[in-house]
Amino acid sequence: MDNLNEQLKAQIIAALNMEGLSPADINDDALLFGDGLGLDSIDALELIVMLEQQYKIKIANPEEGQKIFKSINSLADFIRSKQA
Amino acid sequence: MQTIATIRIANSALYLNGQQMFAHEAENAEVFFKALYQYLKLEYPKFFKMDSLSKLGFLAVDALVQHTAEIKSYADDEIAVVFGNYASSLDTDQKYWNGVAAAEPVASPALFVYTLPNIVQGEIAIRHKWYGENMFLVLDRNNKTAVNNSAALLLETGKAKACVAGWVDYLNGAYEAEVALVRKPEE
Amino acid sequence: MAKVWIGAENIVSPLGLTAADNYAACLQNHSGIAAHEGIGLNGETLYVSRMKDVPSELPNTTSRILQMLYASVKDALRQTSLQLKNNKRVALILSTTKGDIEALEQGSLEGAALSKLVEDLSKLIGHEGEVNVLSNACISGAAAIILAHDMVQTKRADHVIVTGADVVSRFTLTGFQSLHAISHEAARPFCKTRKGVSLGEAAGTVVVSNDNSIFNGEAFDLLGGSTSNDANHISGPSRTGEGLYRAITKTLNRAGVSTADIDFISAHGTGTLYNDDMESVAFNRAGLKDTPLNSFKGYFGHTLGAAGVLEVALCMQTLRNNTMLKNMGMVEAGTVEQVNVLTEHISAPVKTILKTASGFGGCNAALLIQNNNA
Repeated sequence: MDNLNEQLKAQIIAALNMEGLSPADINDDALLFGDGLGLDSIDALELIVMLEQQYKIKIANPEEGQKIFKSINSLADFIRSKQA
Repeated sequence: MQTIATIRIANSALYLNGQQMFAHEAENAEVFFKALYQYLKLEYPKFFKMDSLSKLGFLAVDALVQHTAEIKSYADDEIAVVFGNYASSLDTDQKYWNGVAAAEPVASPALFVYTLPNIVQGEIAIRHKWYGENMFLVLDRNNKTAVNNSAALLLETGKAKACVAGWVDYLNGAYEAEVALVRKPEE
Repeated sequence: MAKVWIGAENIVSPLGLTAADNYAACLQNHSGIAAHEGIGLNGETLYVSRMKDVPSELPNTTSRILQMLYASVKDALRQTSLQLKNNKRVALILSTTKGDIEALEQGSLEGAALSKLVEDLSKLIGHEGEVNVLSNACISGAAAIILAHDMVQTKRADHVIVTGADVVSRFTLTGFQSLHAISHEAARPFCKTRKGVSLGEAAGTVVVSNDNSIFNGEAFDLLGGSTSNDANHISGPSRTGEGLYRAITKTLNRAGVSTADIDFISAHGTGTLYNDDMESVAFNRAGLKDTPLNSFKGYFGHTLGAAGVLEVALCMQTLRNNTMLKNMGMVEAGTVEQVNVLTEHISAPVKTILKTASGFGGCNAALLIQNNNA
């Protein structure tokens, strides 16, 4: 389980070119958007592309993305629900 | 035009008015920028999303703000930001284009938004809540004085009381920033 | 301070090779925007305003953007008596976002350098004064004209040639696609059901001067302008229109012009939901909700770094012809705040025009031109 979380952190860092960050800098439950990691609507679009490429999961409506991308945990839960 | 303070970032070091304040030998610019971020005790997660040009300009201006008390005495629209460079946003342009030109093309929105040189000025405006004038000039490397000339113009016309002006250039891991707080001489 | 004139406008676009031809095409409700098959990231059909045949006065190894810039500047200079030879007092400012981005697409970083583009252009026209490139996203053109004004007003230069250009490239098309900002039909700025941007390519030129007599035709007063940052977001427009509101009010105050004096606003109007809403908020806050306005982007698409120069050239044509052009493509008004969007061409005396622009990086610009020749 934790493997998916760590993998996601690395993939988010790569997708958003956050070269200076390491996976350890991101907490599983911390907010990815707004005050947490500071992601925004453009990053949501980027994460949608990442999900398509890495997990073959399509999110048609970018609005929907904001909920899924709340935290590393919520994103991992979403991916597991799609892969179940 | 009177120079209040100058910050220079080059060769893995930070200089204030010509004096070295911090140095950190690093294998690449990104590692050095992170060390500088820590040295300046910044807590600003969005920093890590920025492209290299934005990180460079952002760090230079943060250092300038930390070392010049005067900068806080201006109203939110009295400070202009005038930058110049040679490489525009070509470093990030290349990275974005490599994705589009790949066998399976990918267009990265997070990269594309940084394919404009003036984005660094947006990042700085957001950070310091500066609503003043912005100007970004792209110049030949031997024409750096044009930046100061344009900053002087904004002071002379009264559009800005002070100006954060200088050179912020990044291409393929090579970087140079030299920004100063300038204002009209006391009358 | 010196009085500042603006004249000798040119536009090179799919709608024509002179400002007058472009304006006439708009008056006949022509738009350069059309469907182009296979140009999207994955071969999608996209709507763009692209030149079929770029001007070809220069050797055919010349980049498209330089061909367009050269044709545009030459036509503008033909409308003046400016002597460039041995004259250091003529400055040249290029406004562009991506310049010869096609060089980068072909792997040449040196070729894509913006300073090279302006230096090439300067040599080709025999210009010997200062050169500069202003690159502030979509306000580049407006900001370059403001800079030219300030240079002439403070006597840094006697004359400034301001030219702007950007081309439709795979680089910018795929980028706007990635932001989900491209309209899947011709852009319809300020329309209730607007779907996004159509990109366009164009070059535009104006000449700014301290001397009215260099212009063969009528020149107008350039009253200057201001820029302001939203300090809010690097790619999303401010919901309060803060930067644009500040740019407008600073510009009016500095020029001593009141909102009642403004006959027409040439707005930015890209056709994205958030941008056009933001502008409607800013114009309301500035007391300009009833002033007739349009966006020219339904005719030309969004020409990025060229837009400000192109649209000021169209404003100058509006002053010459006393006819304001309608906002092409709008079916039904629908911005968050109400503004007076022109739904048909209107013939009326036009004396004072406000031009605005907003762009990525949170930057905004406003400038004023005025016809005092009557």
